Amino acid sequence: MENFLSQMTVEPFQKLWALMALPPERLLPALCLLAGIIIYCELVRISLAVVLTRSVLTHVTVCLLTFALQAIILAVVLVHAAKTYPGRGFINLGIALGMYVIWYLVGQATKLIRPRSEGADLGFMAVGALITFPVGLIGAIVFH
Amino acid sequence: MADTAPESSLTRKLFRYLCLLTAIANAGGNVGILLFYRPIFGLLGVPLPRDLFSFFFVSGFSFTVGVMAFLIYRAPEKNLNLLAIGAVGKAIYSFFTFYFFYEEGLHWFYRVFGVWDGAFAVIFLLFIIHLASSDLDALNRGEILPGLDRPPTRKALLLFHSLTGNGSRAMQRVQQGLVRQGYTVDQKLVESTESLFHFPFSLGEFARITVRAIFRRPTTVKPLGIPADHPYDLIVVACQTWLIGMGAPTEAIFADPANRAIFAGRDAAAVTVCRGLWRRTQAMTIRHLQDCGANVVGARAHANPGWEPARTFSLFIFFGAGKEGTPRWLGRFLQPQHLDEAALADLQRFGEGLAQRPTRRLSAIRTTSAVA
Repeated sequence: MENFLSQMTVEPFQKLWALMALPPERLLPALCLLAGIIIYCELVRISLAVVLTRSVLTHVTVCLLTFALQAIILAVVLVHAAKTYPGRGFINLGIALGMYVIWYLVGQATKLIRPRSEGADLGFMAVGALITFPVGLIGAIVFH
Repeated sequence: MADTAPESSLTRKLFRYLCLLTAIANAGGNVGILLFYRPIFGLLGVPLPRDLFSFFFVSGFSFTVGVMAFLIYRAPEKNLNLLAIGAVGKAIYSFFTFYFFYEEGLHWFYRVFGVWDGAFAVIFLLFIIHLASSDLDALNRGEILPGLDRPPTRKALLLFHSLTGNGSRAMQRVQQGLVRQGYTVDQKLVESTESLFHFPFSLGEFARITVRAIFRRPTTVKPLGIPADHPYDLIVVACQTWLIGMGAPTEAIFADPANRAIFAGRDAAAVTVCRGLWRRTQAMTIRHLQDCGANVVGARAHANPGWEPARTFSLFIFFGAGKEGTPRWLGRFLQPQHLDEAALADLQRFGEGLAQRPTRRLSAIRTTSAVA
């Protein structure tokens, strides 16, 4: 069993984890990946809002995608990036802010195709920001 | 999923043609690549595939996605699940292409397909957002749909649970509207059998309510005491949003099979009251009503006034403090925790509109006359 587990494929995850450290020399792919995650999460949240109304799994997913998942991912990325590349913590905070702007714009853009929709939820996004930015700031200070 | 014609046919047409475009690109393009990959790769300097089986397999799978996109183009409303599968499939293909391009040195030629599929993953999701439960849009446009062809009793029942009084105020105004148009109205306050659901609550109670709302842990309510042969020709159900979905006590009405008969074969309407997120709560309420056999004739959703994010933080402060406007030092940052007069006036008009709803037969006669 140990032999079986030791041969598990982890290399892609290790490479993606390294990319999530926002390496300065490979910032473009890292930003593309982060932005892709943020965009996809927001669109899935809004897609699921009015369907599968009895599904507990769907409801939990919608709740997570409302702010928690994205906020936690960005917080983890900020700490990981600050630890891997000390001194870039404050630049990375700016990147995280940019991701929140993308998140908001994507949510609002859905109103173009479904006018009677909520769009982005700035309130819960602000709650998410209270997770992301304090954690990121502490990471930036600690690993400066 | 119930569907009616979507609101904007232009948007629908645009998305449909985008589906046709990717259908042609996926199905036609892959046949072309399989037949001519040697000269095409030679022309563009793409290395020949080392693993022909994987290359042919991916092309075949991509061809299948093209067929799927064509089916979506033919009947989008009937193929929402295919759109969801397409959005997942294209996102995964795009992600893998991204990974192998940046990490494993994949040739740029494949990246073109990755970017294409990434764009279409977004397009498919947007198309789902446009189409899903489009029948709710008619209600949210303010339309009152025709009622059932049964003898009117001009009696209405308002069913609601109100924790902080916001829902109660909303229903008072719906009642005023109904009464103004000649209805007799009875109110039935839904009461949970659990003492947990009260206001103000402690932090621990708030945490329990929150966790239960996220995981849709149901509660039970005291018997409504409404017989199946009740005299009401209209039932209005009001529900607050708790963690993006229906408040547990109101949802519990529908969890009890004994209550289904109350709604079966009756006209019904849904009122949603919330801080900001109303769509899921409204959809849940309407689907519950429809599942019970009710004919949903109208729906209104209203959020508390104020600016974000102060409105959200004010809500949590309100829950913590147990009353509005506390602590005072936060001054104008604190936003009202009840619907404003404009929303309440709209609910009163909604009540009037419900009272004046035509029956299906009358609506059909009017439509025929208009056409003639």
